[in-house]
Amino acid sequence: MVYKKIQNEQGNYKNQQNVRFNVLEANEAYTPAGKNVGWDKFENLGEALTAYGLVYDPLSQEVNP
Amino acid sequence: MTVPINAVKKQIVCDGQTRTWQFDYPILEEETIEVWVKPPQGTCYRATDHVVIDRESDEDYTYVTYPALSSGLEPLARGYQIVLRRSTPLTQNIVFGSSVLPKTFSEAFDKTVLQVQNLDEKISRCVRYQPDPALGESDTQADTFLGNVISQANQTIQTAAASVTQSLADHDNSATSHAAIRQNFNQAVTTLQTALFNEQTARSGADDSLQTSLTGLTGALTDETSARQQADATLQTQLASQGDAIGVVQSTLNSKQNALTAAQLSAVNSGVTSTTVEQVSAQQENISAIMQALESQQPWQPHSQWPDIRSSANWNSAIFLVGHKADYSKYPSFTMKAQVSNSGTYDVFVDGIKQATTASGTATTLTWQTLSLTSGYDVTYPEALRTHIVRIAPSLGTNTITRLEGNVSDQGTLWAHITATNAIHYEYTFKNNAALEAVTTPTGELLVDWYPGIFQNCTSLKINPVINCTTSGNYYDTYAFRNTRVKKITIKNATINYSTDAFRENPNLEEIELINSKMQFDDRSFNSCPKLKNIPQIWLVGNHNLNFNNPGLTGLENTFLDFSLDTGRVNKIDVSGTSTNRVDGLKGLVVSPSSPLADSNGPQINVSYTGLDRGALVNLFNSMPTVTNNQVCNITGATGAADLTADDLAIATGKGWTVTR
Repeated sequence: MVYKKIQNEQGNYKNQQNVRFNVLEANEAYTPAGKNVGWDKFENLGEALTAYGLVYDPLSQEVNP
Repeated sequence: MTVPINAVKKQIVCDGQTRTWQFDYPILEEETIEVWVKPPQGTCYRATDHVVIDRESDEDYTYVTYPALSSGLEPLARGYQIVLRRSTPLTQNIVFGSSVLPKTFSEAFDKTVLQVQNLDEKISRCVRYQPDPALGESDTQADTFLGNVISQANQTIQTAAASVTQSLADHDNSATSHAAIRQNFNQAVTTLQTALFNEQTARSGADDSLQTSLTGLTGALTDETSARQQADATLQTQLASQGDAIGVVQSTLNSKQNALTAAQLSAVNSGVTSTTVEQVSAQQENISAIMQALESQQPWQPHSQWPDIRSSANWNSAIFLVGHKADYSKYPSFTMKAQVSNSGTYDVFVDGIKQATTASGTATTLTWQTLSLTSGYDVTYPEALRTHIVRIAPSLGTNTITRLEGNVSDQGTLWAHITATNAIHYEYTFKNNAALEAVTTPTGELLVDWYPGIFQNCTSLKINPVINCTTSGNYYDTYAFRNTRVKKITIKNATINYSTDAFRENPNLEEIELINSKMQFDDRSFNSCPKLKNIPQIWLVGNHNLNFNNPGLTGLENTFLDFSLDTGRVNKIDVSGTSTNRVDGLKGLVVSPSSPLADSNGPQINVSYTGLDRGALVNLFNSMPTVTNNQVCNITGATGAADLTADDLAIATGKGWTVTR
């Protein structure tokens, strides 16, 4: 699998500095620069999060008021 | 004399006649012979009287007579035994002088030999003991041998006694066991005898029954055979008759076939039959759809226990069927706030009796226990309640209700019927009334102004009127139908530019119909609507993130989403499913080259696990704008994802997109 980390204030992952990210996951990514260029290969999402230094911390879900 | 024989006694069996016996062994003197009598029974005794001993001259034989004739006694009877025994005295009285005769020496030696023989005979009858070296005994310990003998004998006796005791115990046990076995055996024999008797009795009965059944079956078989024979005869007759009929039909068919025109024959040969089948099938589907439509259009009928609040309903009113527990433990009060035109007042009637007159814009609360009404209707559906008909109407008939606002608590409203003919601003009017089953109007349309949250969390709501927005301007319907149980929502004449969460969490919702309307939806509008078959045309007003994937719209049918007219508003669109909840009903999606699709949280287009085939994906790629910020289009699991060629993918990547699959 290939992964890509994208900084986003609505992201479900954050690093030690509490900066939020989202992580994209795909079997393969065809980019303008070629296959999987700019994406990182890991065995699974957990490995990717470890490598990126991220933890899962979803934003609170909107409830039925 | 010589002593050639080592014998000291002779035992003779008496015959009742003989009384004189020969003693063959040498003796020195007559007095050394003893006569012992052994009766057949009783103790042996020595005879001292009536004994006559006659010694021969040559001294080799001695004759002993007992009892002597002179005694007058009878000879010893048959069965008696007589023992003649030599008893040589253990003395010697020879005196050796100057001359000793050889006879004297001979007699002295003979006496010695006889004495030795006597001793030998006695020793032979003594108890002798062989010392055991293993026990440390020796010949010199003869003085202790008796103790050893007694000890050994005692040990032997004790061993024997123990053995006897054990044998006796075994015998006792064996006897006890034998007694138990005998008892069990006797019981078993008795049981077997009883079982045998019962079996014999049962077999006898069964034999009788079998015999009876056999008799009956034989009779039935006879009857059946007879009946079948009759039926066969009848069938033969019928077959013959039908054969005649078939002949007639065949003849008719032949004549009709002959009458067919060439065109008709051509039509048959060209597949009229299969076409007809298809037409019939299509008609059946249509009929099924019509039946469903008819069923859905059947007028709703309230539960039979409920009073019909539509009958004799006053116009220009809002009428509610409201319930409470008889002990007021549930739904203790009912609150509604109304605004009326011209700042007038409104009246509140309960079961036809006016209970309050309230100024416009002020809430009225009916506390059932305080009212302590004697009127009302007891129902058991949906639960045991005392219900009342509450009617709200302007005090002056010339005024109208302009706004109805609920108090957002579950207050036991079961049914509402609105007879106002003007548009009303509904503000959370029925929100959280979980028992509300229907909202009706005389026309089937509810004339509205705004209607945010009007039916929110009405989790029993099945019957809903058409929402008719009669006045111009933008409307606001946030949460309007969130979490209900309706199947179809129809909205007319609406221009709604803020529709947050309007339709989410409707598990039964199948269709949203927009008539002369345009709505913009937010990314939660269709959340948790798994049966929704279509997504209405979306009116793009502001910038949109259209996330329709939480969860996926798995109920979509042949849906094509067309955003080709977007004029720079769609920032993100997500209609994806998952591997286990696919959105195969989505068949197409196109965007506009002017769509920004610039949301920073990719993928900016997500059609993963949808029904987009290769052609649809290529169409999507062709419609996508050129981007510069690493935008991602996720097509993982889409029907045609694996069929895309390098050239197909190059359409998207050539515009700066990353395609993931």
